[in-house]
Amino acid sequence: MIRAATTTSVPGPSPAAARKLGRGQAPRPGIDEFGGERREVWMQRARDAGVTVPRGAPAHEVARLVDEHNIRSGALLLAGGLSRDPEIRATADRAARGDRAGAIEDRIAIYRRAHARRLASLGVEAAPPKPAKAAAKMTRPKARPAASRRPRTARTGELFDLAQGRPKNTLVATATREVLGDGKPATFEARATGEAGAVFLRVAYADGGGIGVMVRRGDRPQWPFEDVVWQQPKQQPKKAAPPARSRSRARDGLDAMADRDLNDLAVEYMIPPVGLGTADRASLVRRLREAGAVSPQVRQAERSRRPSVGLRVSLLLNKWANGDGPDDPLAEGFTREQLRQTARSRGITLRRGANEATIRQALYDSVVSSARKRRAEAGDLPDVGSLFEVSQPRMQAEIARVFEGDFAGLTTHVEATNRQRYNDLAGRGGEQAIFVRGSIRDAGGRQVGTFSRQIHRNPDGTMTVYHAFLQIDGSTQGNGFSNAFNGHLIRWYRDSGVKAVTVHANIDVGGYTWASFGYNFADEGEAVEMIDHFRDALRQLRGGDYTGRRLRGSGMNTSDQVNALQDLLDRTQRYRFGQPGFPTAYEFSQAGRWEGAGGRSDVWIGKALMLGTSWHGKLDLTTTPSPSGR
Amino acid sequence: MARKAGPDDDAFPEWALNLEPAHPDVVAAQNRLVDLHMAWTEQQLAAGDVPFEPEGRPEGSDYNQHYVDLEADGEALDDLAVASALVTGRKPPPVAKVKRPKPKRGALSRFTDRR
Repeated sequence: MIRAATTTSVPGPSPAAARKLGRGQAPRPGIDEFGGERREVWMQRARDAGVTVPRGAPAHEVARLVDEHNIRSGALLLAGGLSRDPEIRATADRAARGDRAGAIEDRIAIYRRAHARRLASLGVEAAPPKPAKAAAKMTRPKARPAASRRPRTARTGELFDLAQGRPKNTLVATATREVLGDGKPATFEARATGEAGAVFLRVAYADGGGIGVMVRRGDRPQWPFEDVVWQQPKQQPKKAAPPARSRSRARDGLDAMADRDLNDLAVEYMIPPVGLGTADRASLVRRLREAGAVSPQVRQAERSRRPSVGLRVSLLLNKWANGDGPDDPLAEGFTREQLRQTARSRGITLRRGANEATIRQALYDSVVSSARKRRAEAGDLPDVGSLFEVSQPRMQAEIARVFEGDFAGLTTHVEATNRQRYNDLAGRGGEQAIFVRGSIRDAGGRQVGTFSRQIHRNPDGTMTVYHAFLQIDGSTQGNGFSNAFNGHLIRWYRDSGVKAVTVHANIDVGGYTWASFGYNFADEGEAVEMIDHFRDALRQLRGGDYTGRRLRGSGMNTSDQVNALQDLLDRTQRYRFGQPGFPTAYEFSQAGRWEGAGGRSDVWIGKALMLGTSWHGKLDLTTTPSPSGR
Repeated sequence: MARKAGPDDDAFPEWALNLEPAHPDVVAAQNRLVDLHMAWTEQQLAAGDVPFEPEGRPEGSDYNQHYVDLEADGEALDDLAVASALVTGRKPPPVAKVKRPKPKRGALSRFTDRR
């Protein structure tokens, strides 16, 4: 049987009790102590739970009131199927059938019988049970706890759910066991382990000492959790800052960590904590260091320079969808909760308690239906170059296979194709080009846009594609379409050895956003024009006569904008165009952006200067040097 | 059967011909940025919380094709900025506010090491 505790902060005896005990009087079983706990401990629990205790009530009576309060408040409602006691399981079934009140009364009756047996074994005469009404009145909390703090019953599985996503070291459950498997009274608490996907149990024996046990989902804990009481996670008291000296001793921050935190960290790295396989703190620190562990503080600092989990998952999934990367790219490096959050952000509905493998599968399924199909089709797609070799009807059919499809809910249809040789055009002997024009339709078949793509092949076989035009009606959200359609084509170009894709960024927002996509300035002349544009703005900002798009936003600072512009322009002087170090168009577009800037309300200098501009962009797809050797 | 393209499609632009490729490192970084941006856009669209407000845009605007870049909030753009710096081999800009849990290690390095 388990006695529930609502807190692990077990105080010692009151000064009066200590004095009493100090006089050498042995604690009387059932009167001064019960269940291995002193009366003062039970009194503290009663106060914590808001239970009114009659003055002078013996320890067993206080314990009974606390336990019955917890049963009535639902804290000790039973976890069906986990208890080894058939009577308890029966009450759990009753609760599961909806008869919660009846289940509680059954459970109280069971409890009282057990309580009486224990008192009899102690030779203590039990006070006559109070009528239920009076007992209920007596156990009513002084102040009804807020709903969010009301104790609930947790099953083993719930502990994991609770632990997931909690900051490490968050207390998710506490309970007191009368006797553990080894016969010692103990309290135990379940703590979130953060990224290990497990619950760390800290068992503290009443006679001193303790052990830590990690339980992963699916593992059988060493004892069942049939009546674990937990409350909403409590704020852990702030630990005193470690001495500055020890903090600076190791960059990994392990030396400065408290013993409890080190043990929790050990769980994350699958290293037995101190007391459970690792002899002492020094050896634990050494093993952690060998495993590459760092303190949460150091880790937090590192994380501040990492992209989000969701973005990394998306990258890996996209690479996987493109046939790149390992078979199961999400198998390592992400916790269940991270995957769950990513799935949610992708609109995937998961059943409660879905395990890690299920979540991973759901993530894969979310991309596989379209991406794998496209991938399979891509494997079957013609090489771009072959389109210049086949007959005109075959070319048209192949182009339709490539360009027609469903992209983010819109479908594309090839309306016109044309293949030309430039033999008869001045200066273009031997060149060829294929022109593709198509329509974009919504699910109802209504045309909502058009596109135009041009493929050029030099006599030496090098190919360049010009994304001439893509327009979607203003009321249609076409970002998903353009992302999917252009992505599909770029993958095809890459697979076919196309040298570069070009675009003319000249419509409304494209001057800014094509840079984000990855397009760079087509040639040095384009870059110089943009540099001049930025240099003019720098001069104007310094002179106070800047007339461009207004810079605004809560983090906007003109001097920062000036500095950012100057830094960017300095780099254009230090490096050659096309070489590493020369700022990319994306870097131009982000010049002056401050942390947290976003949305249309924030305008930094790079965004202001590139919105509405007209420039020719190029995306090099191959790293093969040109015949000129550059 | 598709008809022949019209006269407006019959001229491949001169400026787009015979462009010199950038340094291989620049090209590799550029392609990683393309992949990253596509993934990021997909993520933003999947989250479904990017505003779409085409009102007031000029006729023929490409806003509806690019609105995610324009409307994404600061946190999302921070995310893109850090990731793009990492995948293109640049030093990430400082980002102090981190609200989401991150993997212990390895996930990104797998990605960045592959290309």
